[in-house]
Amino acid sequence: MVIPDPNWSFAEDAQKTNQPKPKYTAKPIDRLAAQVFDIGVVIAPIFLLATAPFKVMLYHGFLIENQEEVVLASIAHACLGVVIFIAYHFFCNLYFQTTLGKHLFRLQVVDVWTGSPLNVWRSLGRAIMSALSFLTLGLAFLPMLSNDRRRALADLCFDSEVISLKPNKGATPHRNEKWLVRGVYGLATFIFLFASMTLCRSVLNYSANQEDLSAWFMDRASKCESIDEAMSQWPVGKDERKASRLRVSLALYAAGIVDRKCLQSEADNEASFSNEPSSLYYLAQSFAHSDETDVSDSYLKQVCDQDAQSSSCELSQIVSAWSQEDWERMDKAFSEMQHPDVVAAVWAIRHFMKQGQPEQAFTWIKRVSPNKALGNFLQVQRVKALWLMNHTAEAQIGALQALESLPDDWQVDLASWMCTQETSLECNKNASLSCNWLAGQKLSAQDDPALAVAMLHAEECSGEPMHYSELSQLNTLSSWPLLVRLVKEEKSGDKEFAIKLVKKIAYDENEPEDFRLEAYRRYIEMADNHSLTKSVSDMRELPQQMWRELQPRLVQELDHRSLNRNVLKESSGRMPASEDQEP
Amino acid sequence: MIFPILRGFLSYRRAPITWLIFILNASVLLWGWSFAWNVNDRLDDLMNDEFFLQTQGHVYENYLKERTTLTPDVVRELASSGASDNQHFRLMGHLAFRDDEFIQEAPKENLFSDHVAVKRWKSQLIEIGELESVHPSFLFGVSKDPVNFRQWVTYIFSHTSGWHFFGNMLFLLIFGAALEEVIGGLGLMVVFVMTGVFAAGFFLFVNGPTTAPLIGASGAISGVMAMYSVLCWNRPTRYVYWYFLPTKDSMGFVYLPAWTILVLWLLGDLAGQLGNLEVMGGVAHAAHLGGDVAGALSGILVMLMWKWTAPQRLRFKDGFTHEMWRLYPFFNWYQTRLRTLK
Repeated sequence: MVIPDPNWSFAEDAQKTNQPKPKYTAKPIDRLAAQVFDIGVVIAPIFLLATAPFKVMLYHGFLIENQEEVVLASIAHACLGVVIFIAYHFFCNLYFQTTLGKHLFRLQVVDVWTGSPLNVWRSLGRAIMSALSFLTLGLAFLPMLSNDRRRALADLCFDSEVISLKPNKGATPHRNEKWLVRGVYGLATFIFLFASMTLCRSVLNYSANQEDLSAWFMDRASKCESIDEAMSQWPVGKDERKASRLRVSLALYAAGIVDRKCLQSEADNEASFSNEPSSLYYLAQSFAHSDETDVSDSYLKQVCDQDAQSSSCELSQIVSAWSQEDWERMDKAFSEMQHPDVVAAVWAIRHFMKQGQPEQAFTWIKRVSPNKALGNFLQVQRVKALWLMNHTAEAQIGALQALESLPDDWQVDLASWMCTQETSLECNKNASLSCNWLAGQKLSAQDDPALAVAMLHAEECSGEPMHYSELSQLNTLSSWPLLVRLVKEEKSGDKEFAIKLVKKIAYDENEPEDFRLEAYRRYIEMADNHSLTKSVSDMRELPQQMWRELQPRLVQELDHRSLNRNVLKESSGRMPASEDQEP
Repeated sequence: MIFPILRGFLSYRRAPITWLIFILNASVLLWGWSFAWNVNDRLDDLMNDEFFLQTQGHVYENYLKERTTLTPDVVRELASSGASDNQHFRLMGHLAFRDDEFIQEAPKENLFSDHVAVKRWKSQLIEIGELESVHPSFLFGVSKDPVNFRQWVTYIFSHTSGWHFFGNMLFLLIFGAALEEVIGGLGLMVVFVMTGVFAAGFFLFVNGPTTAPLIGASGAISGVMAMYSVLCWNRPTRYVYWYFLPTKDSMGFVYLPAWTILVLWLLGDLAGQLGNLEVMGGVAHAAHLGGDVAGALSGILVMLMWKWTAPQRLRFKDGFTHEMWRLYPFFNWYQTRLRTLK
């Protein structure tokens, strides 16, 4: 709607026409266009030119990672932007009553009461308030859509208004516009209150858990610092010399305490400070580049070229055998090693545990101990080895001690492994301390298949009704709900369907090993005698570690059904000594 | 968004040389794509290979420790910062590509003790060199060899990517056509090539020989825009504005004098040139500035010529005054058209 005001006139126009020229309220869309034009055509180029030196400073700061320079340059950018915006609007409104953009859209800024140009202070105040209005994310411009003369907050504060020199239709706000403004203000208030409450709650939580948070940050920040710590704890060797930093890093990497980035960073350090890197350096680089096969192989090959007599060379041959999955060659290489150092020992422990040879692994564990830096790794492996060697009581005592003293990650790893093992043999409420420990923790098994299986066992053996829908949410992997369904069908007695699910999970080599193992364990219980003896040969084809884990359950089931245990021998041709000696 | 749209795209009959330049650029781009598709992919793979970049970073850092070449200060600071993470060496590796002396000299020396990494880096560097020697950007672009004057012209007609081509051609079709109506087709062709050559010279003068080639018509187009702005100094020029709102009024036109184009472009390029770290690369603002200067000078020269020769003034149907009709001797049909319009 057009609002003519007969009292308003422009002096020049009045002289020409001898009639007062009507004034019209400016349309918000015209004001927006004028603002876009001002910013795009005038302010932005001046801003870019004025901030050019600070832009160089900003890039420089980013490149050399100088935080101070970056912050300073950013502040300079912000200040210059605000100053240019204010200066431009102030001078234009003061001397011309309009800016370039407003001039193009035939708009003028005038005093709301007299229609005269703004004075210095009001012009300056209005310019400052307009700049501040951007900080409110545009909320301060919204009054333009609700009051009859379409004045924004800056206009309301400094008694100004923007008028149009051309007739406008729909100049006064429509009812819908007013409702829109109320809605936006309501939403903004709600968001503000919600954000404030969330902030308060976080601050309160923070003060309550300050220690936990600082520990969390320390843990995040000290991934590579754990090498410094390990260096201070590392035992002195027989030759009274301390191990090199790279050797310690390699041992920690092998034990899963540091990641590849850390290892590479240590290796790069050695390359920077020595003219001729050692064979250990090449070995470290081969691990650090394990995702690029050809690079890793080139480094591995260089290890023995560098020093054929070193322990690194021996280890490189073992790693080469590992990558070719030549387990027998690895066994032989470990047994014939002439200079077994701690790095080799950690790899040996991992290899023998993986291959289901806990006795060998235990020997290597004893060889390395005591080593405080590797203490957590050794403690967990010792408990696992004892369990697999059927020293159940010792393993359980070890696990109990470990669960009290180990850091969180190691605790969860050990507890989930022990829980699965213990409940696989006997499923009742008191069967597993580890399961009880897990049940008492609030853990997320979203990315941890082993933990998810352990939690399934813990719930199954707790003696209480199972909540299948909650269980199927435990893990994000697609096969997890199938496994939960398999348990459900098994409990409800639909064995035929359950066995179908077993085949779906267990036969798929892309599924996580823990899920496949769990499916096999269930199958051993459900299958009839004929199918069970027939499928033993299939299970024997599984990786050694999986086969080793399944064996106790299989033996127990065969005994329970009074079946001949020789099927195991016939199919495997290799039975661990401890199994043969079982009464 | 605000954009100078002038009179939009003119037809082939009204601006034949502009369209001819467009077609020439498009042909070179298509030929380059068909010819260098695989080369480009392989070059990208090699130059962004993590292992290669990190090794190059190590080598470059050691190289800078031993040399006092004209390397920018920021690179020296970076090399002596003591950082040893992968990101640092990757960045150093990227920066090393801009140091021609390093690329030439470093492979001959033993600057890094990791034999495996160095061997692999050298073989990849040789492969990169071979690929660059057949890549259109390096064939046509102004790069290491500053006195290869053929490249001072060919770089104008080649582009790195579809977006690069699209951006430049948008401006060419708008401003080239507008200028062609003022000074004629031959005049446009001469101005386009000469300002392009001047832009290349100015770029080399400011930045020196570079390993990253200068390509694209933007320098020449800057010249065209500058000349148009000078010749039509006060003529209202149409800008389109659009602020992406679903309303009827959110799009429209405003008119500003033609000189605003020159001022805006000069400010933008000056800000870009002053605010750009030498080692960062990117848009060649120096070439734009060179084009701007050459175009503005050409415009002034033409205006002086008009004044001295006092040419016969011709008027089109739309009121457009044509000053330089004599520059059309090769287009009889155009002269015929002028006569009929007269």
